[in-house]
Amino acid sequence: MSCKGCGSSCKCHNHLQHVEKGKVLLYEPVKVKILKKQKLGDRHTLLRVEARVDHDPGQFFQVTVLGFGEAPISIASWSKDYIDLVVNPVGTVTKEVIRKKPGDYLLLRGPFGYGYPMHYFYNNSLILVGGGCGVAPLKGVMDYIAKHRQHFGEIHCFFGYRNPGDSIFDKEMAKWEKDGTFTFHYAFSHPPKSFKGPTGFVTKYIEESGLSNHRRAVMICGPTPMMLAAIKSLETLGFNDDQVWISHERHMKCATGMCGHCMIEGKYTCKDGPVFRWDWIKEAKG
Amino acid sequence: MGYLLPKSKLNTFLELLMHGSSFIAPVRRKKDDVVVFEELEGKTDLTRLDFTTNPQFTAKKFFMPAYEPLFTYNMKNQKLTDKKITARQRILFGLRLCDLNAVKIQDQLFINPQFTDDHYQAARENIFLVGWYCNTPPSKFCFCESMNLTHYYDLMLRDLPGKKDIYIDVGSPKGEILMRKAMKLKLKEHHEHVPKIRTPKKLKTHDIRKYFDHPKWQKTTESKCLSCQRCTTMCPTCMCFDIYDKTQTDLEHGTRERTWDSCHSKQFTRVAGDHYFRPDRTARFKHRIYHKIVYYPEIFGQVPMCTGCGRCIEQCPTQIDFVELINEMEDGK
Repeated sequence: MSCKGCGSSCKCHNHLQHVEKGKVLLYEPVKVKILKKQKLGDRHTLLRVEARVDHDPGQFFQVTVLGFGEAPISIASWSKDYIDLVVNPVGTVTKEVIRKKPGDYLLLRGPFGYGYPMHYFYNNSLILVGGGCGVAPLKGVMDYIAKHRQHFGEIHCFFGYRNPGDSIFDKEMAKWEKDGTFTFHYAFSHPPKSFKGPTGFVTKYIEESGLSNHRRAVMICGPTPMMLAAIKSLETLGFNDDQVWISHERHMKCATGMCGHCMIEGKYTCKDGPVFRWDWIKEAKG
Repeated sequence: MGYLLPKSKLNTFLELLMHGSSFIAPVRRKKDDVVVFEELEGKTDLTRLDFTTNPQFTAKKFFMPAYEPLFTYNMKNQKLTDKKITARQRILFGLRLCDLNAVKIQDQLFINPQFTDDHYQAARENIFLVGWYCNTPPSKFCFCESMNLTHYYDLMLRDLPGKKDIYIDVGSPKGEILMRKAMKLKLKEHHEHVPKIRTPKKLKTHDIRKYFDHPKWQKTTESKCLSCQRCTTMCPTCMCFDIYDKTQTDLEHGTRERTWDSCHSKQFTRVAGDHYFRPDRTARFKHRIYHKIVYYPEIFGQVPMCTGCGRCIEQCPTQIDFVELINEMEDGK
């Protein structure tokens, strides 16, 4: 297997580190330019960076701010020209990242991990279940599907947020809803009193939809309790464990399967994941 | 392939090896009377060599120091300033078979087909491994007999019992290069089988997945384990690390460093929102044991990550003996 980036016989699978000319160390971040910055809802910020590197939806980048550290951020786009990163400022690094302006440089390592195996889902219908910032990696999946729509059946999206202000990519979603690319089901769990829309958790809407498991795969991304609840309600609809793909979250430092932080049983979230088929890690106790 | 070295010429042989590179060997430290791996300063230091016991600390710090700078940076303009890797040529002498196998495990982890850790690789390529064979196990806690050890060294010295010679086994092309340094001695070529080491302690089973929910884990560790991380510091194969930025007080220059980390600390699995994936001590203790004996062979083939050196048992302040624990489970006690 040769490297798609540098064309040499190195066994990396196309990392920014190798697209850059010259030898770049494993832990050395590469400079990329910020093309666009946009506020998404009340909490999230979108940063579009110029990086031409092949990636799967669901993979992630290690974003560095020198002096503050490194944080894994998942990819929220699927394009050959740019990469969208959706940042929720909760930690020291992410709070610093969102202070950058278009034209500034961002330091990245990656992309790392294995994403959603999109080829595997060809000629099937899909269900996407996202919670909060878990919608961001699924946006990458949606970008992919929008560009390869003929290969997929009907697609239902169940997105849950705490309140309407948290929702992200409203404009794109509205456009897709209008032209019928996707069918959307929203749920807001903690909306303000004046809110007149769908309330409660996504699980309620999954169960109400009554979708059968025939030729369908499910992709879930969100907080762990939400993923477990969603899997439970999918089970009531008759879905099997091997039809469900989830994206895990763990503390990680090296992103290359060495530092040991992100281990779930014998699997590294950074290297073997973050996307797992549910039956692979269902029994995982570590 | 190997050579015979008269015991009286051992020091001469080591002096020849020492020439031109940093020489690290087990010596008894004067201040606390503990055997550790230390760099020898000269020929006179050879008298301090001690083979009576396995060194208390492993040699892993020469492959990955406890604090290692990855690169330096300038925080103001967000640029990397220095990313040069420096590595010295080192000869590690006196490693037992358990520590040598630990190096093999580190190599599998850090130099794999997908990713190569540049810092580890630089250090590793400059290290020559010279082993010291255990005729008798150096400690009553050794259990390497049940850990499927293989021969992984450049040179292995074996004090032949009842004879006047030391047998030097050459295990790699690097070992052949090292032997050229001692060409002057005109050693006799010889071949001998390096036998398996027999140890007093044995781990009865590697198949411990079925005991994951055994109440004994909880009973032993919750009352005894202090999460002091002594076992992971002593362990030759515990190579988990943390990466962080350390900025100087001028808020401009800084270093990205990595340091040893331990899965026994609660912080190890912390994610944003203060969620811990292994909040209790039993889970963390079990994770270490299961990583060594169950998870690692599943990833890299049938050799466990534990090499049976017994340091974690010997050094545990509350005498938690995981081998005994597993054996008791196996016996159904």
